[in-house]
Order: sequence, then structure tokens, then C-alpha cells
Amino acid sequence: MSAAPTTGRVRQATAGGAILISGSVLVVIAVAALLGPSLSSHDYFSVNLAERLESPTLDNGRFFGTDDLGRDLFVRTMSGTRVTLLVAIVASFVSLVLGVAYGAAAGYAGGKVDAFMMRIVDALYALPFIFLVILLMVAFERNFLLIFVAIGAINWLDMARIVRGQTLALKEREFVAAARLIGVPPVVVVFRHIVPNLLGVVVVYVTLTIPQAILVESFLSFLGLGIQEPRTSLGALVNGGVSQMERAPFALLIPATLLAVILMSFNFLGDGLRDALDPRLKAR
Amino acid sequence: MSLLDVKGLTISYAGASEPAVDRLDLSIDAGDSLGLVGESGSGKTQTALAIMGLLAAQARVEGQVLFDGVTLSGRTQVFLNRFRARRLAMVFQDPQQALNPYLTIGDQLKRVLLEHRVVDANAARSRALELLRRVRLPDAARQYRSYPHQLSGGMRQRAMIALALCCEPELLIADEPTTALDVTVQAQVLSLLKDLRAQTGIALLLITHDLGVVAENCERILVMRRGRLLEEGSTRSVFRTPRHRRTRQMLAAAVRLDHAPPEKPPDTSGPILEVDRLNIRFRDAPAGLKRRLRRGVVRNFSFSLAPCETLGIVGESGCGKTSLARSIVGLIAADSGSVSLCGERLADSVSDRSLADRRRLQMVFQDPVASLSPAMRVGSIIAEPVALHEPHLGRRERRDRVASAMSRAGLDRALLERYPHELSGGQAQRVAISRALVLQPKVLICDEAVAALDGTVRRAILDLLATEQRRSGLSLVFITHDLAVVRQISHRVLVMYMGEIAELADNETLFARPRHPYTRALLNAVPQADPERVPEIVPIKGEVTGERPPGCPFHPRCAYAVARCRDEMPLQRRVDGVEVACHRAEELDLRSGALHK
Repeated sequence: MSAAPTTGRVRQATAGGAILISGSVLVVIAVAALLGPSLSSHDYFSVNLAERLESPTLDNGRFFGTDDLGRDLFVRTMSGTRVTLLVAIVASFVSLVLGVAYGAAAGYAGGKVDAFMMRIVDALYALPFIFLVILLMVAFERNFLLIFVAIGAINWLDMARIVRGQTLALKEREFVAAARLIGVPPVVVVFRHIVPNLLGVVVVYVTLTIPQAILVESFLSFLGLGIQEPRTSLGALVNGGVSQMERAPFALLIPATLLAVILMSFNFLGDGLRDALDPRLKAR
Repeated sequence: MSLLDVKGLTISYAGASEPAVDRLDLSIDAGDSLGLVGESGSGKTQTALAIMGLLAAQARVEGQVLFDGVTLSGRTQVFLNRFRARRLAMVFQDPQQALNPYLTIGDQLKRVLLEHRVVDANAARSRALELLRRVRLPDAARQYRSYPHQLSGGMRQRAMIALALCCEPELLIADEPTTALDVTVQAQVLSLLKDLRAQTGIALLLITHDLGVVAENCERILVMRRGRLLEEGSTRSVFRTPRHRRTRQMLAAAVRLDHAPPEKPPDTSGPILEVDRLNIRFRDAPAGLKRRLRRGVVRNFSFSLAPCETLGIVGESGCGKTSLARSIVGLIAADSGSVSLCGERLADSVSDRSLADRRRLQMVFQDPVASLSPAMRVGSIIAEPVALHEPHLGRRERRDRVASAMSRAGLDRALLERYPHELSGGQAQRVAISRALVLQPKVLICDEAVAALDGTVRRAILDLLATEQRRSGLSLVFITHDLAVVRQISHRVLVMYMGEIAELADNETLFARPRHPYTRALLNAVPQADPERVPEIVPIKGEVTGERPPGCPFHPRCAYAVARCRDEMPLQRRVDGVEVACHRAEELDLRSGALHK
């Protein structure tokens, strides 16, 4: 019964710490990615065959060294981070908006509408999405926007299922019944009474979506369908680094470490946000 | 020397400002019975767990627990397991959770017996069967092979008691053993405990929030509040001359059926709410393609409600009272029948009702915290209906409405910014009530609205509703399993059994002269906070079963059943101004001498 007065507070405290640390790490990385390239004297596309695979040094601004074409890795890493973060955020946003709206609508409507809407999701699940994305990429111009949308379109299905399940449970609760009795229209019930109460789950799932989106993006880039040279992303840089692993380990280690730090920060941020968003844990 | 001695027991948790139990002393002699009472959060259960050595690891325990001269505090698990298994036993509130769902009742008994008492599997089996018979489990041989979920609540609690008696303990700790049970079943389980004590001389530590249960079952009583001992003594003397102010308050709020009924409402023309031949049936989940229709949950149910009137609806769990309430407000669809408000027929589903209709008919739910959205603050919860029904109001006026609704419900303005989980049960129910009343409805349906609350808080909420009724002419339908609540607030009482009306009468008439044997059995079964009262022998047997029997639905449990009751369903009719559905309503005299003295 009263065995839990401590755990709540402990979770609250660690949640605050996790948000603070992982959030500031992400902010630092984002700021560096935005400003870094313009502060450096180099650019991300100039090939300089005389300076191939140089080790990182503080002289002449080659902080991360150069790649096998002599391009400055610091600037490339920073602009790659920019692309990766953008892909992650836009893709997750697409899946968040689509998935939550669709799942909550299906769950709240229930019955036949729900069954029909979820069979559509099942049908979409059955499609080999990667191939669909590849087809899209081949058929249309390879543009940024398309990658974002394609990756978001993969992820919203899971989100819709999770949100629908939560909604089915929540709509049986008495506060939803009370809202209906007062006369709150269905759409408002969903967005004012149901969605805020499943945010905790959604946030956690979004933080799982972000790494997934990043990985899909680097996979597409590896196949030559994602970000096109000379532009780059962290995934593309890691793939490039793999081929130079023996001669220039830094070309793999630096973007890989950065990628890992970004993924971990998102995970911690998600955990922290879940605890912070749970009103039951909010301190008095 | 006493059997159990607890000295200076203090239980505290890191981070909590006050200890859960603070320097508590208690002792029980062999064969004695001690009632430990207090409201929720007073440390009763913590005390019991500390005696058993079952507290969570984070708990800091100080003080001494001596059992028959042997220190139990600070012992190893191995020692405790052996010692307490043989000499102490515990029965928990929820037998569903205390029994292992994967083992049959027989296996669970056998395991304990083989572990501690007997070596031979056959002997264990016959001993287990004997125990099941001793706790008066009907058809013991069959229940021996049953899994816990196949048993009813009362049968599960009996099985739990059998499990506790396996090793012939000297002390039985029963933590709210009947709280989850219906009154008639509660009476059966309590009389079983009493008989077992008379037979075996086992000592009993009975933990409960219900002063009535203590009054009828314990020689001594110990009252706790916020972890501290308030008062201790023989049950009679504490009930007669309570020394502590808080004890007096608790006693004043306790269950008694001899409250004066509320005054009659002024006679006004025409009913405000009419329920006409309502039928509700639940369908089983689709099994294959065929959907099986289940038997009716509510059958041919008709009643009406006058303005300013309170109708109490009583019945045991599963009698369909919650389905009835939800169907009236339109949350579940009725199969046939109609609900009319102010003479106009309402749409079946709440989604099809107009805002004006919804405004006139509001509901308060059982679990106050669950009926408030966890993500909304108190202020916006109460403001939501105002914004919806009176969108023309400015922000300022809306805030004034909320503030006046809150002050009428006895809520402090400081709570405006709180989230529901930060409220106590009583505060949360006040918020739910002000959300309903801020719309100034004509009819308010309360479904077990005080069941989750402690005695004094319950009293305050009932008073609040009565005040609102006098102020605004509200009509109330008050659904509950608790006869004392009904006695206190309703003008008329409707007794419901298996989805049908058993009896419908004035408050005074129903309690003075019940016409239906079921009403009589309910009245008898309520434990009253009066140790002087001699409880009558309960003439009701068994429990509500899932299938509705042919004839009168009550006849298998009825002490007055005759052949006709088995074959012919009694129709509801008027006998001396009382609506009753019993073949023998005219001839039986069910008056009770013990109810009023």
C-alpha cells in the first residue's frame, strides 16, 4: 500500500536528471551541426586528393581528419548530423501525427469501423515497405522530402496499433463516460481526454522510432537511394568509414560514436519524458 | 503472558514524513479476539504484515514482536517460514489474489499439509477434504478439484480460511476478510469464523474498517488513526463510552440501521424520471459466427422518480444495478423499454441525446479517482461542462461558476491546480460531484458513490448530496449495496435481486416491515455497530449464481420457499402500499424485533 512513496520520488528525480543530461547533449550536438560547417574554413564537398586520409589534428582546422577523397571530415560529420537529425525528427513527426490520429480514431470508434481501419493497417503491414520505398525513390526524383515521408510511412503503422490498444482500454474508463455524459463531442473526447493520457506510451514509442528512422535512412543511403553524394548523413559516413577502417579508424569511429551518442540520448530522453509526463509521478 | 505481544512497533518508510505505524503496543491472549479498526491509511495492514514478517524490504521496522515468548522481529526468513506456518496464519482481503490461480484448491491445501504437517499424500488428501468441509464449503469433493476462478467470492474466502487452518495455528490474522464480499455472504463467513473460534479456541486478530463487524465479532477493540493507537478496551466499553473525540466521530458515522429516515419530499405533480419496462441483455463475446444471447441482466424494470425525491436502489453485486444506472444515462444500450425525463422519452444512447437532455441527467461513479481524467487539473475538469453548455460565458464568469460549485461541494480553492491523483478519495468524489452539479441537473444518478470512501468521509458526502437536494430540488437515484446508506438518505427504497424488483417501499415501511424475504435477509445480514445487539440467525443460504433459476429467482436461497416458488415466477404487485414480488407477501410476517429497540 504505502510501499511506494520513495520510488515515485526517485523516478521523478532521475527523470529530471535524464532529461537534463540527454537533452543538453542533443542540444549541443544540434547546435554544433547547425553552426559547425559555417565556422570551419573548409566545406563538405571540396575534394583535395593531396590531403587524403589525414589524421585528426588541431592545426588548420582538420579536427576530425579527412576522408579518402581528402574532404574535411569535421564539416562532413556536422552536416551529416544535420541531415540525420532532420530525417529522424521529420519521420517521427509524420509517424506520430498519422499513427496517433488513426489509432485513436479507430480505437474510440470501436466495432466495425475499428475492425475495418485495422484491417487496412494489416494490409499495409503485408507490403514490403523497403521495396516500396526503393520503388518510390527510383520512380520519383531522389529528394529529401520523399525520404522523410517514406520513413515516416513505415513507422506510423506500429504507432497506430499501440495507440489503438491504449485507446480501447482508456475509453472504458469512467472519466471518458463522464465526459460523454457532460456532452463532450467524440472528437474532443479523443483529443482532450484520451490522447493526453496515452502520451507517456507515445513518447516512449517515438524515441524508439527515431533510432529506427536513422537506421533506415543509413540503409537507404548505403544502397545509394538515400542521401546523395556529395551530401552525406551519419549513416553514409559510417558506411564510408567502414571501407577505410584499417587505414583510418577515425573515419569510422567518429561518426559511429556520434551516432551512438545521439541514439542513446534519444532513448534516455524518452525514458525521462515518460516519467515526467506521467501526472501520477508529478511532485506535489 | 499473552499469546502475541507487540511492543513499541514503529514502521517507517524513507521519504514519508510520518511513520506508517508509530510506537504501537498490542497484545492478544490465547483464544482472545481483538478487532483492529481504523480508516484507510491508519496502519492496520502494516501492523499485520509486521507481525507476520511480510513487510516490504524498504520498510524500517523497530520494536518487538513476541509470540508465545519467542521473538519474531529480526529473525531470518528460514526461521520465520517454519515458525509462522505452524503457529500463525493470515487471511487476506482479496481471496482471488491470495490463492494461486494455477493450482486447484485441493492441491494448494495438500502442498501446505505435506510441507508442514503430514507426510503421506493420501492422509493429506483426506485432511484437506475435511478442512474444506469444516469451512462449510458446499460440495467439498468437487471444490477440492476446482481452480480458484471457478469458485464464487464467498467460496474462495472459505477456501482461504481452510488454507489458513491447515496447520492448526494458534492465531489467525484476518485482514478485511469480508470487505470484498456481499453482506449476506459476509454474514455467513463471519458466523463461520465465530464457530471455528468456539470449536478450536484459536485467537483472532480481525482487521477492518467496519465497526459493525468488530461489534459483532470481537471481545476487545483497538482503534488506530494515522499509525497511532487512539483507544483500546473491551468492545462494549469503547462503544458505550468512547474516550477519544475521533472514536466518537467514527462511531457517529458508523453503520446503523436505526437512523431516522430523511423527511418526505414535498408532494409535487408528475414524475421527473420514468423507467418503463427496461430490459438489458449482455451478449457473450462472439464465439465463432454465432452470437449467444445471455440471460437478461435487467428484466422488465419499471420505476419512477418524483422531483426532490431520493430513491435508493440496493442489491448485491451482480444484481444488475450498475447496468441499470448506465443504461438510464445511455452509456449502455437497453434491448427494450424506455427512459423518460420530464415526460419526454430519451434517446437510447447518450450520443443521440441533446445537450439539454444530457444536462438534466447526470451521474456520479463509484471510483472517484477513475472518474477524473488523470491528465487534467481540477479547475479544468469542473470548467469543462460549463464551457460546453454555456459557451457564451466569459472567462471570468466561467471561473466564478467553478468557484461557486467548488465552495458548495466543500472544496478549497487551493485544489484548483491539483491533479486527480493528488486528491484524497473524498476530495476526488467532491470534484466529480461538482462537475455533475455545476450543470444544475434535474436528476443525479449515484452509482455506489460512497462505496470507496471511509466512514466519516462517506457521511460528509451524503450530507453534501442532501444539502444540494434541499437547495436545488435535485432528484437522486442512489445505487448502493449498503443498507445503512440507503436508510440515511433515501425517501423510497428499491430492493433489486437478479435484475428484478424484489420490493419497492417507503424507507420507514421497508425497514420496519420488510415484505420480501430477501429484504429481510439483507437487513439481518448488516453488521451493526452495536455490541449489545443480539444478531439473529441468518436465514439466507448460498450465494447468487450465474444462472437464473426457474420460478422465483430467490427461491434457492429463501428460507420461506414453497413448491409454488420453484415453478411460478412471482409478479410484482401492491400489498399494503408496497410493491413486492413474492408469492407469500401477504401471509408472511417478516417484522424484526431486533432492528429497532
